[in-house]
Amino acid sequence: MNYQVIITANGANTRMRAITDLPKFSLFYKNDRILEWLLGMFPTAKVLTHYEIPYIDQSKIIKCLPSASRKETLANLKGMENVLIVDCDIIPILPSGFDIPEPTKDMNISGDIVFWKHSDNSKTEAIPSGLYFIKSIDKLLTKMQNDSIPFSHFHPLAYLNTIHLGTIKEYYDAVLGE
Amino acid sequence: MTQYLESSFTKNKILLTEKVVVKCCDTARSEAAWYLSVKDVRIDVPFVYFSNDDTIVMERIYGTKPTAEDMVDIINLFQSQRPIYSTNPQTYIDNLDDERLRDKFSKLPKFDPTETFFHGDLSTTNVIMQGDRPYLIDPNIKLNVFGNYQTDAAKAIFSFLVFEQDLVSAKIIAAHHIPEIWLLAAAEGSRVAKYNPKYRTFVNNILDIYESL
Repeated sequence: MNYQVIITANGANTRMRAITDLPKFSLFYKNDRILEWLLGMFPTAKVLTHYEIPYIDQSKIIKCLPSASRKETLANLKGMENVLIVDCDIIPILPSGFDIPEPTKDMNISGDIVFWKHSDNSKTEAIPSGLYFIKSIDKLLTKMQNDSIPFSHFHPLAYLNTIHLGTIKEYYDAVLGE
Repeated sequence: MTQYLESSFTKNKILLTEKVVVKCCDTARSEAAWYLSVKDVRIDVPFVYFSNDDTIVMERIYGTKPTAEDMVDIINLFQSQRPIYSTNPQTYIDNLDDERLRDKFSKLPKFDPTETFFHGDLSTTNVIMQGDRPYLIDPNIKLNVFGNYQTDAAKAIFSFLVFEQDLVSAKIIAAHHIPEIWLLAAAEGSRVAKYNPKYRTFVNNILDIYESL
């Protein structure tokens, strides 16, 4: 089954303002920007954004208006089916030679999938990896009551480790950590 | 209470008592010479009890971190003071191990080669405020490498942005200088990255700021 990869890069950048005026996906992680890492891992991906991003192939950009919530951002994808949504503040950690698992082929399931990673926080065993496979954007939007994707509707779960870079603490831990 | 530390960057061994700092480093002589030279600059520094080729023993200073405005005042003072010694500005560029930075400096028309007094590592941890009086510690003076008030301003910018996560203060200092101060800040970051390559990420971010101006 073919699926489209969409990197959602439409946040207001409120959490990183103390260290940058740029949207957080334009911050570097080692020698490449976070968004460049993601496009390297998902070469066919499109970037859903209201920002000007001069350093990437402009044909990859799906332009939208600024939005106040994840639901508003995903509403720009109405009508799309079989979409892998990738948050723009994570970098997947893939073993050498491995690709992102093709959701339907590898897992033999027909519903939405949320990817999880182990949490370092003792209070929670796992947290979302920042990637979601959505069968139908329209159906998801009807389920969403607020900004959050309703995880209770994702009966199949998949494990995928990712580096989280969405807050200043996460960013510094990732850059300077072991 | 005695504390034993190792510098996270230089790996220098440091012994702290309530009133005394004993630092083992191969720059002990040049540090002591810098502390002596500061008498003429109206900046307070710790009293040096002893120094030789590998150890410096000095007074321990307590206080608070500086604000951006404190740093601006110190840098302005340095700008008006004569250097301790004379060097060729090219030595600063030659000492960079980042080829991109060396290339950018070679095309830079406004790198100010004016020699002034400088500290060499004007980070927020090396300026200790007692009220409105700054005490400066841990100078980084290499006898054959150029520095001036601008390289100190650049290190202060890097320090606020990266160590204090305070872009606003970094911009306050930068506002007193030419835009190329951000390139110097990246260069100062690359000197930090010599000790810990993970800091190259921040050098890249600062180069991005410079190139977006």
